[in-house]
Amino acid sequence: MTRKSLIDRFAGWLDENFGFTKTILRPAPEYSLRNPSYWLGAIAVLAFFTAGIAGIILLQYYDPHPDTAWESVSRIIVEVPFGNLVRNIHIYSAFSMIFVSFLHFMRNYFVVAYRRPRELMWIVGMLMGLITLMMGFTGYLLPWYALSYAAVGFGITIIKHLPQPLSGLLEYVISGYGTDAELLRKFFTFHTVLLPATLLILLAIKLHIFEVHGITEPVSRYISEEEKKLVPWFPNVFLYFVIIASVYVASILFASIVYPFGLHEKYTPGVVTIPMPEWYFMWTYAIAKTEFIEVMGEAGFNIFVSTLMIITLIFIFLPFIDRWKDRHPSERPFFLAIGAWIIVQVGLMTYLAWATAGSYIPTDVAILSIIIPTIIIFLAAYLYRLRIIKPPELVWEKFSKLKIRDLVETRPNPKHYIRTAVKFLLSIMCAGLSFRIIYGALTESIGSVWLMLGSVLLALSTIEAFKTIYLEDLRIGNLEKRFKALERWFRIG
Amino acid sequence: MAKSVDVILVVLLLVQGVLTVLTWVVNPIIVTQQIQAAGYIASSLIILSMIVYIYYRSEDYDQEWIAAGIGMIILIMLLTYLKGGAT
Repeated sequence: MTRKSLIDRFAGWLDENFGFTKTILRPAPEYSLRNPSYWLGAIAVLAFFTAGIAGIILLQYYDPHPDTAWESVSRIIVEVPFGNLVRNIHIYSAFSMIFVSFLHFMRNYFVVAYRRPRELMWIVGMLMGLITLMMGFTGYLLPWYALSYAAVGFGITIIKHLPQPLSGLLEYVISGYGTDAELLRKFFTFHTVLLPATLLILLAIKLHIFEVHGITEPVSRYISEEEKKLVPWFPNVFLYFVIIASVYVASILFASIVYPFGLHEKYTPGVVTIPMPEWYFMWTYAIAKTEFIEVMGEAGFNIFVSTLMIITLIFIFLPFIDRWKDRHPSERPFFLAIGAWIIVQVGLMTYLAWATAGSYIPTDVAILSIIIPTIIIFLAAYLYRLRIIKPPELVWEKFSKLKIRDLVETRPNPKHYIRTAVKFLLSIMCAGLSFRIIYGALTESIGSVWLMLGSVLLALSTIEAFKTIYLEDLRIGNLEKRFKALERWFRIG
Repeated sequence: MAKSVDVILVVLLLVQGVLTVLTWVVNPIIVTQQIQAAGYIASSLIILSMIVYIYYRSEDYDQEWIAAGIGMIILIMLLTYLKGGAT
């Protein structure tokens, strides 16, 4: 008789008590448990709850009044047990929620996860995304920084330029017509009660639809029957998510160690600051502060706000607009290019807004940064469609002919793990150091030689990190598996 | 004879126990010690994910993730002491 491991017995005991194996939650296909991108929505929900729990703790000590808000945040940092850590966890969870939601949105866009019968699921998801952004917007004001006050002022200007009656309604509901105290109280109520409650209701609706329809079928036609096999929610999906959740929370704590947030200058009437929105709104800020929008004045701002609104509406109702039959990105060059264009433009605009803080973005820079990526991306997407750009299957063929496999160690011992771990660690640390050097060279003007050194160090450490993983993958035969997985996704049908 | 997976599990649980004790003895008011607490909890969570991963994948686990997990724990502890001070 084989003896069960300690952990097996513990899991059995838990199941006996909680009846996990009898859960009504639907089983998931095996392939979804080999790819975390299927679980981005679940990670965003996890981020929401992490931020929520940390937020409830902060709520005990925060005082939503202009005279005392900044002081209460300061008190949280210096007097409350674990106050600074909880605040960092709240901020980083909120940031990750926005970032992961964006990744979830883009992934579902690329795999066309909005096809019938999931149209309403997409619309609910889009509304959840907008509420997530609004939570970020309202939360930014709460510490009562001069910086956040100016940024919120910019946001309210956008609201004022929305078409009536939406503009008037939102202006009244969000900003009010009165004092700073009213503004802060309204933002506080929205951030802590109204928006989270709405998000929870939408989450319940989305989860219900998800439980009815399950995970969207993969776009690749090369998924085997074995991989499509359904595995039960408990223990398979549950354990997979425990791994993801542990790594996620550890990453949030890691970010709090590496870059803990400080306290900015307090807002007092009369203080003049450059409005700097949080990073997730920087791209909109970049568009608004381009020279040609500024030159056009009121009309320019109206065009900017209307364009934002139209783009948002198009994405909300995308399931009813996109009637393209095929779901594989290689068969949808236009949609593929639009998706890639959005990612590149959001990144580029964010960088431009950050790099030109306090001044306008010149018209020629703005036009070039739109036109050049547009040409490259659309050209690449159509060349991919026309089979001129080949999928990476050939890459594996070339690698397999090199016979590098014979050169690497095939029988590892504990020393091997330690050696691999140390090599990986050193390369990651060098990459971190090079980021610091590049950041210093860009922001503190420490010279182009340092910028070059930082870039070289970054390139070398990245190559070393990949080489470590590559050799390890090669040794245990995973490299072939990874290339095949990649090839399967990109292969044109 | 104990299974090798049991041995790994016991070692990891022992390290987790030490980290938990260390988390309890930090001064929660001092910001640098809060950073240390964050480091201990983060390492503990990485260990938890490794334990569950080994169990979940049974004999089929990818060894590079275990090496990456060990690397991450060392990195977190190093940064914890660099950022949080040695006390």
